[in-house]
Amino acid sequence: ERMHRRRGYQHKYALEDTWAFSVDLVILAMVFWVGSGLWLWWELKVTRLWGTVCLGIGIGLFALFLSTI
Amino acid sequence: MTFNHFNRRLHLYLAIGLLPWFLMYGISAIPFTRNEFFRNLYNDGVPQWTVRFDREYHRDIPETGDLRTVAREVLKDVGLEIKGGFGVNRNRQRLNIYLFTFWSSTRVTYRIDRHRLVAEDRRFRFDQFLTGLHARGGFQQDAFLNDAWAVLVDLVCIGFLVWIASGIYMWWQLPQTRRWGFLALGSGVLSFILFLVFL
Repeated sequence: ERMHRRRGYQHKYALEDTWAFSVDLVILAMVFWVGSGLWLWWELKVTRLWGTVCLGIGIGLFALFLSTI
Repeated sequence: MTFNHFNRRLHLYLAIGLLPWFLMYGISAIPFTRNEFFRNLYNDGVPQWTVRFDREYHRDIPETGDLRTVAREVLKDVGLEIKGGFGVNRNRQRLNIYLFTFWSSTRVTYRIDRHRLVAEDRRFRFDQFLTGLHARGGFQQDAFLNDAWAVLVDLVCIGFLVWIASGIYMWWQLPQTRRWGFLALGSGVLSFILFLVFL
């Protein structure tokens, strides 16, 4: 948990800031993976139907949670 | 269907289905790492908490026992609905109840000795909305949908592990990417170990 909660840029040492920078890289990578993953998925025409169903279910569930709890 | 095919489809459909959570965990990490920036951004003179009501209230709060049951009764007495979840703690003569949804937060403070109950609503802050999404979890809340969210979070945890394993398997099937893949993997593992050892 301590590793997960480690935050950055307000510490004295360069290594702490480097950890924070690596966290920023992970955030960027996650956003990139979503975008590039959707692009890759769309290139596979045979998977579009079930992919759209999965995406719809995921977004629908997420929206349900956002609006209720 | 070969294992290769199954692996690729599993990686794909799991990722697409859990895409909102994956994107949410990524983006919602930003306010955690930019805590000071958002604190300054919202340091604009608008009060963080606004009093909804401040009234006289009488209820004996036992020193021992289930505080959550007591909190439910208090909230029912004052007409506050539990939509998302709530937390409760007692600090001597003060009972603190925190009601929350993803969009709002209300704190109810009951001064037991003074028989005074105050309910305050927190202003909406986008950074707190994101951190609330990121931190929400657990099976300790009452409503079914809260447990369902917790199950989805568990699925995302499993999803991360499945994506790693299936992703490595897929990478290994592309011999021309193995060299640079090893370099990237080695760099990542080494830097992580360095952080573990020195931080």
